[in-house]
Amino acid sequence: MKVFINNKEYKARENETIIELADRNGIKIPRFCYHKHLSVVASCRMCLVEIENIEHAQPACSTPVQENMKIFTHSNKTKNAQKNTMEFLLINHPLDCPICDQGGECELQDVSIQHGESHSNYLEFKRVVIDKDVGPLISTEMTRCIHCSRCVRFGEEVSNNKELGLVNRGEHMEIRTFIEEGISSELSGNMIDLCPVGALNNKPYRYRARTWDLQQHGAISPHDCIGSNIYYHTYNNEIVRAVPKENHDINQTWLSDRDRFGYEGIYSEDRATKPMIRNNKKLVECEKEILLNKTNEIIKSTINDFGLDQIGCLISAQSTSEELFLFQHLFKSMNIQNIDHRTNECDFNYQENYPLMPSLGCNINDLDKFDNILLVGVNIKTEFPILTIRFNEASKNNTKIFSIHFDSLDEDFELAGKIALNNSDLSKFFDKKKPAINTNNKTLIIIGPNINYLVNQSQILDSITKYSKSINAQQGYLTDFCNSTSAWLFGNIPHRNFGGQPTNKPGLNVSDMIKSGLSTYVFFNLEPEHDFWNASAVTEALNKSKYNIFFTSYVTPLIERYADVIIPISTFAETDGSFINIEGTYQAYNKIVNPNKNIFEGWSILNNLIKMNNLGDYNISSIRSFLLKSLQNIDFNYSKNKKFKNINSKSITNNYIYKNTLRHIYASDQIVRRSKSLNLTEQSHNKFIYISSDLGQILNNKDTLEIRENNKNYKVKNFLIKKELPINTIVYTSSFNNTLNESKSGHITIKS
Amino acid sequence: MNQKYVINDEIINQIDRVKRKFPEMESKSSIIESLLIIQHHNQGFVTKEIIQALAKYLGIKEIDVFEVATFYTMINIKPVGRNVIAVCNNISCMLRGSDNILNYIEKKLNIKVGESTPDKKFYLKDEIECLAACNGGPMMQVNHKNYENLTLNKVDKILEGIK
Ligand code: SF4
Ligand code: FES
Ligand code: FES
Repeated sequence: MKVFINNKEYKARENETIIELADRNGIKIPRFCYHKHLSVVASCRMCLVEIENIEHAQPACSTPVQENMKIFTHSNKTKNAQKNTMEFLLINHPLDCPICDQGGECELQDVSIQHGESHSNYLEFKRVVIDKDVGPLISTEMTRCIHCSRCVRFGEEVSNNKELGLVNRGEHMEIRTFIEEGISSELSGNMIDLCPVGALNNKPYRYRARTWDLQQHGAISPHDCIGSNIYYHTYNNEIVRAVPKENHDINQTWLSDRDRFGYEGIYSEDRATKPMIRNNKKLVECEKEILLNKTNEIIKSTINDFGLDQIGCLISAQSTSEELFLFQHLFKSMNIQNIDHRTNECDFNYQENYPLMPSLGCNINDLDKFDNILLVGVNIKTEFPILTIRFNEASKNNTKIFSIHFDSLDEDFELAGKIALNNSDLSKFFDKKKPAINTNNKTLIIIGPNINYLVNQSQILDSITKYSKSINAQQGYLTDFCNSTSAWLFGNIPHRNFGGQPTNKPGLNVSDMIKSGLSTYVFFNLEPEHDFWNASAVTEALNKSKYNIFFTSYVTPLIERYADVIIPISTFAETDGSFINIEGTYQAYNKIVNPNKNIFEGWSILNNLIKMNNLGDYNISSIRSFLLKSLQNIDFNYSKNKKFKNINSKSITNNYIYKNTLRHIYASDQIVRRSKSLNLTEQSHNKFIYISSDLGQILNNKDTLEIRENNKNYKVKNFLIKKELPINTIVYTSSFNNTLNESKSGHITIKS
Repeated sequence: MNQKYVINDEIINQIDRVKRKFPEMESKSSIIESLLIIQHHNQGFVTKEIIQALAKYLGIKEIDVFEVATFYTMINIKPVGRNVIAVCNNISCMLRGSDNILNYIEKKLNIKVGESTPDKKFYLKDEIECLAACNGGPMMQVNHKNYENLTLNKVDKILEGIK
């Protein structure tokens, strides 16, 4: 279709609006209410343009193009219309730009400079709107609101969790929440970005800096395996806020609150800031050289005195690809096979049959192409909040989404079915065909990280795999850390080497490493308190071992107590890094801020050790080019990945009581756990222990649960009864209660 | 204060009748009528708890109901007087002196527009747009009945005639 803008010919698409055509061709039209990911309401009138043969200027955001339409974006009529709209918009807008955080990046400021008048005819008083406290993440200055309703439509259309509304009308209209409510959506921060003025602002960032003094650094968010693209804004070498970086294939223009505010954890007070070694039972500060020598000496002497199999090397899958590569390179080159990253798991029978690396089973963009999606053991709302947007799109596109879990949890998209089963029923669930799922349909089964924690994980994975084969479904995973993909792929597992190469002598898995009490443990980026399936077993192992080496960003009480060497390392932000997201996309970024002078970049300190042992010498670009070259030869084709076959997992019966952990949204990794603002949110206050109603009956109004697990007894209080839980289950949020740290998922008995 | 409001069966029946008028997925369409029904049974106004209960029943967000309840002047979100006075404030009536009428009633009842008298006899409604009687401006409605070509004298008589 031929359309003329300012007398120049453009090719327009069918059903396109004027603003879409203009945007595609870089022609600027001012706007407030229009946003490409939201519905069109045409309420602000800022985008008025002249169209030939039409008396009045028309809104470009809602007017579809027509053959031979002649549009003028800079004519007098257009300019006049824009000027008048601008004058009206400014009638009630305070001129407090000097104290407004939005100043410098305010759409209203920009548009009024370009299209407005320098004076106003308006002499009356401006209206004032009283501010509301909507929570710890968003600050409000509602007098500045221009009623574009973008924030409202975001809740209605994108997050499907509408909390802000347009209340009252006319002169009294205002944006607010329902009486006294706050904003609690997991995606709420996006309304800060959407708001074209300074009405909704970033609360933790309030008055921290002026936008024109900030530096922008593109990076990848480390808080989930989706790999949202993000810009960190820094001021004086400190991250002061984060905003989304557009990536159509991953996070579009959105960011979850966890990604946006998680970075605050970097500035926690318990950061490891100096190299330390234990001398006469006391940790003392030391030089880098001494630190390295001591570390190397411990490794060497363990190997010489006790043997290769007496050292256990554990790394978090939140580490960067570079770190994960060097970590396994260092130890595997010394022939150490006890390497693992699956610290939250306990059943490893599945491992031989596991694919090369976990993968979603499709591209994020293609989620809405399935007829059915079965979510097994995952709560998207709290574990992968950014995907809520995708699942919403999918369900609007007629994808039926089912949730199968050991708890009954809410989602912000429409579920076609929801079923809560206890651990033993979960594994049996997939033995039978499901009438609701048609074999001819395209089906995707996504297995979430909560399944990984279960004692009968292998059994469940096995039965899901058989089931998905039988209905010809695609099978995918969502993992608990941002880089589990790399951890698997590069060989941070005891049974495979780099690129999935089989080893002839598999090492111990993490659970066996902990149970068997090795002489030396190496921890990289792991918190013994929270990052293990059985925290009390870890404490025991640390206590019994001869040496404990911690590469860590934080000094936790257990680290302080048991570390022989503390190597303070960078968080993701203080180093060049990369992650492979769950679709398999490799994404690299450069250092965002410089670490303190005594904090080492993780990869470089590993490289120091590698060099000391004559195992090579790397820099970031040599690692990356090596990785990229080797990855090219690996077959990532999902369907060709190994399928499970005949797992003999211990079968479990129905006589147990099952205790299961739910991953808490703001306790999912060590950085997020330390984010001050996220810890103030409503979600963070919502930590719980739930028991099923049948257990409640047994207890008969007692307020203490006496639990026996792993031959230990302990007591639990402050639990609630949840009707929707399957029988014989206890569910609690992670890092809530240290008395429950005997396992993340266990069989227990209770005294009634 | 924070007692839960339970919608009684009679009201539920009436709301269900409203719901049936609209497609199943469009529960928001029933908000206005449902609010009017409940308000009728609740001395002419709705409360936070009512809004919560209705939202839950219709399966929509509380804020959705709240938006509607605050937008339409026929729904009151606080207790109001028994007799509703609505003085038209739109252009035709305004040109014919509706401001005077309104001021006069404010003084007479000793309340501001939007308020009710302490004895809960009168409620002087705010934000009254054209009530479709422009030819008789200035005009007002008292308890939904039109009174046209108002003068201060007429206003006195009308209000005195009300119990
Ligand atoms: S708060 Fe911001 S986004 Fe919401 S309506 Fe007002 S100006 Fe628009
Ligand atoms: S952008 Fe077109 S009317 Fe607001
Ligand atoms: S303007 Fe008052 S009735 Fe129309």
